[in-house]
Amino acid sequence: MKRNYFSTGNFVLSLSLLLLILRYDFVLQIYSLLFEWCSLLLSDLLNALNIIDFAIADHFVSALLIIIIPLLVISLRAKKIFIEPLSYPYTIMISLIFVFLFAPLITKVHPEFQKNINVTKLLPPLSSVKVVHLNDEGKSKPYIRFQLQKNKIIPGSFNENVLFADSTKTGDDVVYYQRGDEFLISKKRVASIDGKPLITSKLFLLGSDEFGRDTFSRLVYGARISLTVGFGSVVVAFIIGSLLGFIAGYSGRWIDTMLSRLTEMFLTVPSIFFVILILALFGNKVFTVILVLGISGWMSLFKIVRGEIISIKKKDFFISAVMIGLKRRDLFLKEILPVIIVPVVVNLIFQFGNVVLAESAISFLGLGTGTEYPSWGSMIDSGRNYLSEAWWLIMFPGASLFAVIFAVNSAGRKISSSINLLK
Amino acid sequence: MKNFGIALVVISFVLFPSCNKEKNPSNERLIIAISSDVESLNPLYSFTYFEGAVTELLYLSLVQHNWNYEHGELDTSPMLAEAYEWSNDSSSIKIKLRRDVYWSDGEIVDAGDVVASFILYSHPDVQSRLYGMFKSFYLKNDLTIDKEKTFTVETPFSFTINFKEDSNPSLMDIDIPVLPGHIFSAIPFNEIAQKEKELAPITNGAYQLKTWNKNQSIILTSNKNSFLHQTGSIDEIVFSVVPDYNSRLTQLKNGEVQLMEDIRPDDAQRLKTSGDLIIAPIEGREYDYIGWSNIDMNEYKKNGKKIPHKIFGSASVRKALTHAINRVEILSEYFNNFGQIAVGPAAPIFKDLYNSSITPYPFDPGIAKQLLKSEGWKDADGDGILEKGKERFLFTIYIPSGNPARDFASKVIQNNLKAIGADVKIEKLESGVFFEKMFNRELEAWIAGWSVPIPIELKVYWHSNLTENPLNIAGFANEQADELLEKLPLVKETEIKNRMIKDFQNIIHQEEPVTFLYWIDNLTAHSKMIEGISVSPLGAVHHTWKWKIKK
Amino acid sequence: MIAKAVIKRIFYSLVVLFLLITFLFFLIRLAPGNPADKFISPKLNAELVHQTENSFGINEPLHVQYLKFVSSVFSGSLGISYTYRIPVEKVVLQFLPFTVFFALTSFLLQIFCSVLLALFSANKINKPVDKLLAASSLIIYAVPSFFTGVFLIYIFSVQLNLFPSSGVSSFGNESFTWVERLIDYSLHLILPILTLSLSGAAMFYKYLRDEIEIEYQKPFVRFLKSHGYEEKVILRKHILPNALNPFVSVAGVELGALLSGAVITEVIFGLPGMGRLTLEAVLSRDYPLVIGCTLASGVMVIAANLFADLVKAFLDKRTLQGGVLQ
Repeated sequence: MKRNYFSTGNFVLSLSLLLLILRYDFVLQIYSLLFEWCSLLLSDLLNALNIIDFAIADHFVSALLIIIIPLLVISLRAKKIFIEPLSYPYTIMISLIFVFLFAPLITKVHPEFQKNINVTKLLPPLSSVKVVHLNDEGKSKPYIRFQLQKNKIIPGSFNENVLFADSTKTGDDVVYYQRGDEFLISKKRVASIDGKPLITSKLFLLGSDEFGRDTFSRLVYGARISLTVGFGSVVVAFIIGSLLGFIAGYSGRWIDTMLSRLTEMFLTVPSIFFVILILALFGNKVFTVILVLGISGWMSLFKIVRGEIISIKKKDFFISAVMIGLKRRDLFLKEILPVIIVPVVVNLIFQFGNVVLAESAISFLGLGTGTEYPSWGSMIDSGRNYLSEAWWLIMFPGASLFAVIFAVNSAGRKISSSINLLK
Repeated sequence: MKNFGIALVVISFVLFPSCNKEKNPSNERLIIAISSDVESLNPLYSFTYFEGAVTELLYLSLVQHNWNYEHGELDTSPMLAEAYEWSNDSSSIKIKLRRDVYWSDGEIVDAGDVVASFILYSHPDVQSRLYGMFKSFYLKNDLTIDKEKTFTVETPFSFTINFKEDSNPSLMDIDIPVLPGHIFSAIPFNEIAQKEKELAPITNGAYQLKTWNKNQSIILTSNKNSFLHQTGSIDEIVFSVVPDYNSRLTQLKNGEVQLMEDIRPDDAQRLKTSGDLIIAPIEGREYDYIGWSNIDMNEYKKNGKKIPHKIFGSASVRKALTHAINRVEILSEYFNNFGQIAVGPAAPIFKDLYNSSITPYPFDPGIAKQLLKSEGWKDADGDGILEKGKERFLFTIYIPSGNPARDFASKVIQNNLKAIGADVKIEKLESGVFFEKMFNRELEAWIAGWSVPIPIELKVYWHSNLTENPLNIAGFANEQADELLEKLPLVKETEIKNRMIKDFQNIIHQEEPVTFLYWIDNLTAHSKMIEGISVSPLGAVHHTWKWKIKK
Repeated sequence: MIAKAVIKRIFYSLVVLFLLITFLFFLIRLAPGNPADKFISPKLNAELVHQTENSFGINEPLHVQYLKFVSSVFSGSLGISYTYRIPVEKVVLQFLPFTVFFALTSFLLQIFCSVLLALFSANKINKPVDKLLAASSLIIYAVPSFFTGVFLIYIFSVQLNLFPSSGVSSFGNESFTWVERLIDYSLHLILPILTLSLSGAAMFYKYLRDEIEIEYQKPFVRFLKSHGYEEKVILRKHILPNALNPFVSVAGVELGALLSGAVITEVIFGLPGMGRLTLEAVLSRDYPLVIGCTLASGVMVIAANLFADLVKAFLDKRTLQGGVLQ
């Protein structure tokens, strides 16, 4: 079979390679931290377990996966998986999953990090500011080596040891400018390399928002929220819808009628009202949002599963399978599952698109996932206030949203039209 | 089919010019944008700021106010009352009413209306918002004003009000909008709340109600028979309901509306340069603060005992927290310096009683850490979070939804506090839920604000008797402060009063019960074409009958 | 026979509606937050607070509240709205006309454009024009409506100053002549209707076009062609009715959703419709109004679906009359 070089597998491999090349030093640092932690684990188990938090685990997992996943893909390629040709939907979906898994590696800036707002506020894409690194001697040091390493490597939402400035001048002392005002800082306080003061620059790839937070970083971490909510809601909708649909289709008259009426009830009110109602009443934590969006979407899945099961029940092969006496579980796995899986998957794909859209809509109305993590919808909502001067605040999350929804919809259409043709 | 569509489009473009009618304000109409509809146009039930602005135009009070910038206080002068005279011991006031004020149904406004109004406001069956607030009057058991003891009516236009002994009354006690007695006395009191919605309002003010399109607009027309009417007074004033902030702003820029309040600081900055708008701040009426529960809330709610909160019970800790927060940065970056750092609950606009010798605690994380160290908070294990024995320096700050200023501040505050070793989470609650929890003392740290009344009120916010003073949510308790607050209402000389309030401010500053953040200017913008408008701490929509539109 | 089916449908729908409001009733009561809060100034003492709460009937046990509610519904009243303080029915009736007008106009526009375009592409399927249209419709469908709305306002209202940015009419429009008033309304509603209709029209178009494509693939088309029937006749008499069938169902659902109020568009453009009313009622915990709004939207959805089914039956009859083998 002719080798297709533009396959999905190759795409994954090239992305991983690109990331590794760009971030090889950071990845190495994380591995050294991991090694540090493992030795801590052996010497002081309790402390080691206490000290782990989400950010550290996140970095560890990403660093491990960046090696594991390419190896996995290469081995699966041999087994003829991951050789499909690339198309637009696949590109987007793979990129999304990639961003989801490797967010800490892709951007080294914490999405909530902000400092010196007067310098970093509302910067257009591709702007950069000067970073003056301060000496951290004389400040109290943590006595666990791991802690020390961790503080240096894992980015946090605040950092006392840097200063942002528009421009700097070095003479006997370091002079820096923040929006026109001049400030002086003695050379002793500034960290130095080879005798020269350490002043680097930071690039805001996609600009910054009204707090001086990096838009690119927020976009990357925001993808996680949109994806989590999307994926979670789809799972919830799948569980509820298929379970109920299965029960309704299999059980027969009484239960079926009841469940169908229940479904109609949910369908009577447009889902957005339900969502608003429940979020306004019960708060808007991420978990609630996932639950609510899942509950607003199970109805169509119910209908599909129920419809398929009813039609299968009538079919010859099924009746004969029952007569032969196949166990319930075998019936389900061998006869039912293969038939319903395809329309269900198609529906889930569309559902995913709807949920991502719905999540951004409710963030827009102010009922979104709250202040803890950025989501694309809330980025658009807050960017709305700066429409005329900071178009990038809306443009990038909007474009990302659009790309995702478009990809999801076209993937769904493709699969469903190929099914229709088969019919 | 297609041709028809093209024709339609062409026609509408041709007729465009005629649709720019609303771009310039004319002598006929002024449009003010408000964010939500009012619930009631009746002073008995009106609550909010805009409800007050509208009822001021519809119903006259006995007195009116202007703001005295020099002393930072109210200048009260006659309105419905033509003249008034206090008795020698200041326990009663004799009032002479104007004879030229008529209700919109033709009846004349007289003393009977005034007396009836006081009864209506104070009667429990009416459920007015002012119920229970007439502390300087002789009251019956159900808190209704005792008519016989209080009012002596000599003629329909002259009467005396006798206040309760030792109650220290002032003109503020008679500053209520007068209602048409002949209308309301005919309705059973307990039905007024329901029925008033159906009644067309009978008013005596400079303007009368033309139409009220629910959730769309309130249209008032000038009452040409009123003594307040001047030539050139605006004929029609419209309050247009535009719930979305950005739409309001767009309409302001387009000239579709001519006045708007609560403008965000960034937008105000940009509007300044646009040319046909004047930006004016209403200063010193609101301040934001971070509330720290001084007492252990659970202990108080369970057993009624007040023990200091394990983190926020100490004044040094609270001062440390204030030092740690870069208020200047928030004020300059979010508010564009439309506002002022706050050091206490007394607004700087009250020039005579504001203690200007108090300097705000400067932003200094170093001092903050020192103070915390002296209170026993150390970072023993080097994880960046302070501990005191087994207790970690960890808490959640709650904020209400729908307030972008507090969203911004909370992020900066969170980072500021993390930098000094506090593990701080920010949680946003839906505003209804937030306020319910706050008033129920379920939050140990929160960011909220107070709107400050004129004249200033302190006891109900800062006195340690928490059952009587439920607005003291932080649970602040200080004996000297209590003494000052209890003596204050009894003092008559302004000099002494002001000195006592300055002493009170000193105590607050020493104890720092909450971290006072900043006084926020309410930024308003209005078209340059409006003359006679003065934006003071009393508001922008004030004495609207004096406004004229330049041609 | 049709009448009997319709009556049966209506009966079922009423049952569903009743279940719905029961569900809502308990849902709202279980939520945190208290509508009486708005009317209680924190300065009031505890006794007065209690009194106010009582007037809302909040302190009574849940089943008592429910029974009271049910009995009032059956006697024809839905209660008094807390925020408006007039009967809920009156409030809903104030906002309903606008939503009905807005929804119907947008709906007609969507149907009109999508059907025209679909017919236009019917005989050009998979040619470049069709591919372009199909791709653009997918793109338009993927853009969130709030994005479109904000974008349109920015371009047409802020920058070009062509259309007003919100509201239904300018002030003083009583003094306008009949024609001027019409134009005033149109100017105010152009942007909102555009925002609302774009993604719906794109979806309709794509759906109908796909259905037509499917019909074309069916064997009977080849059969008819080989018998000499003209392309146009095949399209009109045979393909279209079949393709329209599922299309009408989808259209019915969309009509129902439109009639319930388009929340986001109404919020962005400040329109006095049911969507905004429901949103504000929910946020201010105005229980009676929330239930009233939901009931209204439920009725609209059911009516729209019923209407769609009737249209389908009508189409089927015509097809049957035409005597086509299928």
